[in-house]
Amino acid sequence: MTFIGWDNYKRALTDTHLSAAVINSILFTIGILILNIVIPVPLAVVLNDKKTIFRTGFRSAIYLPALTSIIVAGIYFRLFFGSGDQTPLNLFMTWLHLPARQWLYDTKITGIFVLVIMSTWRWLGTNTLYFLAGLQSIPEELFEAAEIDGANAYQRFWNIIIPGLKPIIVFVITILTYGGLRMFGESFVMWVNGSTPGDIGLTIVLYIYKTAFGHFDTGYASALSVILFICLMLINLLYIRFLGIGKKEESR
Amino acid sequence: MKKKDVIYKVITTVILLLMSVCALVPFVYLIIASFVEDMSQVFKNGLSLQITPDMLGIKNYLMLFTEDDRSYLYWYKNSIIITLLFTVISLFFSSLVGYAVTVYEFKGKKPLIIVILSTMMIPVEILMLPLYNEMLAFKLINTYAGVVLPFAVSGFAIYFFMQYTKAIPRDFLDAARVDGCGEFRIFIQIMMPMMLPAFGTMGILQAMTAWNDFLWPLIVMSTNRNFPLTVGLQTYLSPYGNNYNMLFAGAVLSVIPILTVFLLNQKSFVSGLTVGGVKG
Repeated sequence: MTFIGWDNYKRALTDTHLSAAVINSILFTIGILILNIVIPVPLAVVLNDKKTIFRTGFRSAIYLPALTSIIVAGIYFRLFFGSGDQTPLNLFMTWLHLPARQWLYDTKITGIFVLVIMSTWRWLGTNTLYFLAGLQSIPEELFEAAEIDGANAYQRFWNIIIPGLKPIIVFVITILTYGGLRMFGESFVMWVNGSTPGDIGLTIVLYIYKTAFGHFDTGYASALSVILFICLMLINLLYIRFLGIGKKEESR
Repeated sequence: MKKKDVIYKVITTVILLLMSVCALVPFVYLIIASFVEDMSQVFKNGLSLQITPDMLGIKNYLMLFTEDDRSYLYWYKNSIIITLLFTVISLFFSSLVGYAVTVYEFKGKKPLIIVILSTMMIPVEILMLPLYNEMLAFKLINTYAGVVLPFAVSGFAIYFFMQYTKAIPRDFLDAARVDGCGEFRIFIQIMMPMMLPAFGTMGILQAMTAWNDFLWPLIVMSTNRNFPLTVGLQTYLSPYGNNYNMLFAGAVLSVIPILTVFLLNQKSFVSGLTVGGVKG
């Protein structure tokens, strides 16, 4: 082993695979952040509503995907997003008079789309559960007071539920950002053994894994790990600063 | 009921039904496809929807058990052993640590708690290289211990037990001490029975983590016979050809244990998932 100073870090700056992986990971994270906040919040509100029928059944059904391993989910979604004309998705596209696509190999954007859909399928139930638990901690009196004042459902949602859920929303944003930027298995399974053509679907951790255990370039992989770690910590600090995580701890 | 309420109810029910269908279709599809004997009928570069009853049979499942090298059975056994070891070690040590840092006063307690909790912030993926080298040095590559030990005791589990211990009144401990009960016996005979629900919840969560883990066993295990299910099933897919028959059947069988546990303990699942983040 020889000491090479900053060389690995300099190499990272001009590595086009790395920049592709970083862009993929960031777009993926943005995608799951949007889907896993916008859908679960109203979903949890409906599932928490006593007027909704079969609440327990729906809750279980929506949570079931969270039990599967990446492998099992990957088997289905690799085929669901297959490139044949007869796949359910491409049949649907034809029905909409849109061209059938090779979802896994078309462009980087379709690759990210595939990953976002697959991850949302697995993660949505868990996030909905978080919001459900959060809803139960909003005091009942607030809703009663709102009803007396004649607030409609829309006003109740924006003025009671969203502020009441704020800690949970912040928590979910944090874990989704973490989960998104370190995503690895989904890519590894969708493009078998992580053989991502033209960097479609390549993520940061997949790139580190391939560098370390495929090319046995341990030094460079370590440098990349350090960079990822620093970035995650910086994002963490930003969240603490701007979203107010930890403020609750002070008041305790 | 007002007309508006009826419309609201219909719309929400339809949306919930649609979402449930989206969530469940992959399961249904996997189960049906696992019984299809001639996979070339189903795949023309993807999966097609044309499956007829006469294509179905249990040949795929039989193949899993009659395979020449019995690899699937080995993987199943490995998954069970890894999950059991992981869960037992995790519960025992996490509860001990969580209990100790909550109940006892000692020098350096606060920094210790901070160090434990801050490990929750470090992504596992970043540690894979140094941990791999550590396992090499300990000669634990390709062993159960190498898969289980690095992650069995996590900051999250310790935090969970800390929260739970806080809620138990100290009077029990003092009463036991007055009667001359040793500290370790207090933990085993008094605290453990009282923490039983916590053990149940955390046990289920840790078992699910171990059963579904992929990245770490993929790195540590190097021979086919030692793979757990997740890594093993992945080997049915390769650039040289895919064995979908066994993949589908194997995947269905691999979900069954975790599904059974979930259906039997839905309440514990929910409370376990929400304890970490929501309490603060």
